[in-house]
Amino acid sequence: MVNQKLALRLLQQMGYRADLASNGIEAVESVQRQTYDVVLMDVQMPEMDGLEASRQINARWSPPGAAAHRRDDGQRHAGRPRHVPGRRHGRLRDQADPRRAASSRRSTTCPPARDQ
Amino acid sequence: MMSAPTIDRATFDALAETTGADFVRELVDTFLQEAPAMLDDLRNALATQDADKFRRAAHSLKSNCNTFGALAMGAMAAKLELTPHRQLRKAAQSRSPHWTMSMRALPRL
Repeated sequence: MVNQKLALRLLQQMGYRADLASNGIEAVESVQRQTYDVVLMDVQMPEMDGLEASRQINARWSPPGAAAHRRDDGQRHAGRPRHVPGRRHGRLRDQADPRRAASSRRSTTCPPARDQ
Repeated sequence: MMSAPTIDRATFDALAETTGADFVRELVDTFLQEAPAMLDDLRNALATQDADKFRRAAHSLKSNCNTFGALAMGAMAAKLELTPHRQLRKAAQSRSPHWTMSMRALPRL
């Protein structure tokens, strides 16, 4: 819950409307329900981890759809998600810039949830 | 990593500055409510020899601790997360006094 609350707070401060998914299965279901500009995916999650969820999302939906992740230097980086398996979406660099995100844009975030 | 501070003030202050002091108080409360259950998860996973569950519990605890700058506790959780399963029992037991110390430090901020 700490991670979820913090992620939602930060996204809200950047002007995003965000939906929360507690695990990879919920993340895939969310993407199925509606279109998102950005998906922030965690790796370690119960039920289905972020790697598998990313694979499924990449396999089932074409761009737009990007996964932002933390680079080794700690900078957030949303273009060309090198560590996310599946296809690369090179055209997303501009779309994923948070400063350009209008308040109507939506993102989904999937921090780790304690199982139970 | 044993020299990491119980609470790193700079990390905590940066969090408060970024997200707001009221929000951080709420976040600390959330953590203090949940942390005992997270430690229980660790103990239970250890007792039932559930390595995956143990790793997940240690991982969650680590990221939660580091968020608040509870770096000593975070470093210990990180170490547990990466400890091979057969060495876990000994490693976890030796750390339990440190959990208590960090848990007591957070409400004082």
